[in-house]
Amino acid sequence: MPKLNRQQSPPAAAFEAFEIAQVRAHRLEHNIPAYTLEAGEQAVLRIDFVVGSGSWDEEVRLAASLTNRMLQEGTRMRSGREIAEQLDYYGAYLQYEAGADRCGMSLYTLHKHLDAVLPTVLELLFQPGFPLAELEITVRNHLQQLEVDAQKVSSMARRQFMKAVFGEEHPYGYQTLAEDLKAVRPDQLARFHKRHYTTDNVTIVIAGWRPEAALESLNKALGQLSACESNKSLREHPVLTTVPGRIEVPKAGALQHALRLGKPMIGKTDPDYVGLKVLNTLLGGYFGSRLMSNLREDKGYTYGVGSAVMSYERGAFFTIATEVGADVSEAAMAEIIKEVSLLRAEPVGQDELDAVRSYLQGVYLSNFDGAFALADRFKDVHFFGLDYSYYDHYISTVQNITPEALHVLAQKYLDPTSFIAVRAGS
Amino acid sequence: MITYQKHTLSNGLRVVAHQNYDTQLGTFNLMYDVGARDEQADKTGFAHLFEHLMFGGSVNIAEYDAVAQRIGAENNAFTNNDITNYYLTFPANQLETAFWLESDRMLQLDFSDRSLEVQRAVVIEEFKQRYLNQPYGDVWLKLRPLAYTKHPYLWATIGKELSHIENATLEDVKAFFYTHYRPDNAVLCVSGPFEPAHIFALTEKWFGEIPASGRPARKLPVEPEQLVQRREIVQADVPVDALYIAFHMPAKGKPGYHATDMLTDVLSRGKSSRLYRRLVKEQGLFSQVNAYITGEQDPGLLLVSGQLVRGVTMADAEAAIWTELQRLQNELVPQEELQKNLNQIEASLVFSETQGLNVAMNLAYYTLQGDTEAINSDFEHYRVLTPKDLQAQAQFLFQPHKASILEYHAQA
Repeated sequence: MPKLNRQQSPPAAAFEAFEIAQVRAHRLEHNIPAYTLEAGEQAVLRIDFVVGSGSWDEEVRLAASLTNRMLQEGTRMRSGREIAEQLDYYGAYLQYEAGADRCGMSLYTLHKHLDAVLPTVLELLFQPGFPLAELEITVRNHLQQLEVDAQKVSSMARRQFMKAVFGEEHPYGYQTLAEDLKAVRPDQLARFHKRHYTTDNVTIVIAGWRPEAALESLNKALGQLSACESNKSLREHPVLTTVPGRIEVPKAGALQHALRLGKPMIGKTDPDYVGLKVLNTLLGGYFGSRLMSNLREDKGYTYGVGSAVMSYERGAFFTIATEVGADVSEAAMAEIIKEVSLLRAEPVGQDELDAVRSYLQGVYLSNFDGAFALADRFKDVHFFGLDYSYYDHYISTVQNITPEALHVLAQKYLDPTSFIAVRAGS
Repeated sequence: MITYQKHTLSNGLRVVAHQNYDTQLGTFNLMYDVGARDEQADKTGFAHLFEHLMFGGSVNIAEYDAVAQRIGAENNAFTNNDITNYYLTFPANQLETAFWLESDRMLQLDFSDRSLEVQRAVVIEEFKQRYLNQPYGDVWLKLRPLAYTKHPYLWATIGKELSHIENATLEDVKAFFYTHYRPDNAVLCVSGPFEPAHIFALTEKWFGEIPASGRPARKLPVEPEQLVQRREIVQADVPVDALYIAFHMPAKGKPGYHATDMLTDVLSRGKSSRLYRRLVKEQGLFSQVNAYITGEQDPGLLLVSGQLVRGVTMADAEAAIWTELQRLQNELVPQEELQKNLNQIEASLVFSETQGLNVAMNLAYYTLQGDTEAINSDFEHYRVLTPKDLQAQAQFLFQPHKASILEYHAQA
């Protein structure tokens, strides 16, 4: 046997294009849109119930998130305890999500228990009772959690940052306040629920093993409910003009300081968005990024640093986040600004860009691996008014964008003098 | 039901191949039989620090991460008290590069002062970020030395103190590598659209020439049976009081292990569980409460912990937990409640099988423990449990003199 040549990498394999498994569209009882994705050998299902309203649409602070959180605490017919007993008995698990644009919940269940749990899930989605005693317990425990979070430098920095980017009155910038939590009443939640958790405002996404079998079960359960219409006033939330500059959030005795830098950014529907994602990856979006190489692997300032472009439906932001040793936070801040400025000063090298391309292509494949990932990728475009062609645009941008184009994007979008820079813990 | 094939190289490396044509990704999981329990008491945190150094380059590959990223891999590693685990997922057609990467750093790490210096600093920041600069972050740093007196589980994986990490030398690094990072102390599991014969051939090709260490069997001190209750009272800058009660429990997979695990499910799994219903909802004593096990290879701990509702005294909160533990000792768990917990266990097992990385990690872990088939037979150990088994286990576990209690008080 010839001696193994370990100096040389095994032959590199090229990225192989693949067909994305797409959803099948259906209409359920009450004309509810449903989408199915079939993949996997395990007899499991995830069913997402997505309500097309969020804190953007609330008239009372925290109505959207508390409505969502209270769904499991009792319906008009049954107590929260009875509901929990039943769902737990079948090993079903519910995950709740309350965002600024959308809210809802996801059911994770074994396929064989679907019919046993679906009526209960629909009951709590469409007929919650908002019992006062349960609301009081929920609020009390939430208040304590808020106090615990308030001691973390990372939370302090994040709250301050989001307020500064969007304005503290804006749904994307608002941060939960104790006084708002204490003020919420059950009738306000019932009102939010009545206006938004309606058959014409919900979308269902079913992913896993034989998902189409769930359509019939859903129809049977939905048939027991009457149709209801949403009442969404088109609310406007102007973003205040962001004021760049430094914000210090003090905390005595912190061993580390949390840093958050960034600004409002273009969103997912903008033609520059994907290119910016590539640029972001190179700056701070993966382990080999410039920020990670500099702050962690060269200077040892931090356990980790990352940057991200995050898009809502009606707004977006760019952020760099890290926690660094208290004695080096000023130096770390300077290095971050230096790395951003460098992207603007000169185009990135071809090798470095090739590394990012390879990494993103590999991750792209794993982003479509399995039924739940496929469902997530569908939702990522569907609720932004986009379709699967977004992914063609995505992968071709990853493969073809040039150093010059990234240079232009850096100059256009990443001027550090336009950043908000928060430091918490000083 | 997970199917797999196994093979052992002449240098002792165990390989498990899990064929899965349902994915276009490969998963490569290399688990080393070394963790914080193998450290010396005056050099703790070292196994974890070493894990960081494994990314600092090897004899033929200057930059591990650069190569991994070039094949579009996502990779990471973790250390706990028992094992150190390295894993990558990548497009399946890049399989051989994963073998190249991992075999080269098992062959010989590039021992560099520079890498040691930087990673010491990084780990110290990790120590601060996760354990020292978080409310309640240091709980395990206090609980372990309270619950253990002899066994090395008495220190946390991150280490006892920052100075142990600061003092690590390159000589320590080399000795650790040649003792532990050898093929006979490792299990490789590869999952993905691959023929097992192909996996075994690649393993022979890339790992076959690496010499075994012949590391002698572990002789860790055995933790003596606890005879007296221990209690530590801490005052800290946190907003609300918290309570932690630890009991000694059987090692993973040993008699009594599954019953212990199931008892924690009865106590706190899901919104219908006993502690949540009674102590959070009905009595309003805790804002959150949990029971869980460490599930380690040597006898580990069962923990009951919670944050108190403001105004509730520590004594009342603790008494309420003991009442629930005594209920498990005095009354049989109803058959239907047992069935509920079994159904929950079944559901999480099936869901975990949907993730290739989970499957690969579990296969490697069970193989390291000496019983690969446990990945399929484990559920049966839960299924046969009776209410009487749970009662007997509760009577054995929840004895006041065997408890280690940490009262974590908010500073006035």
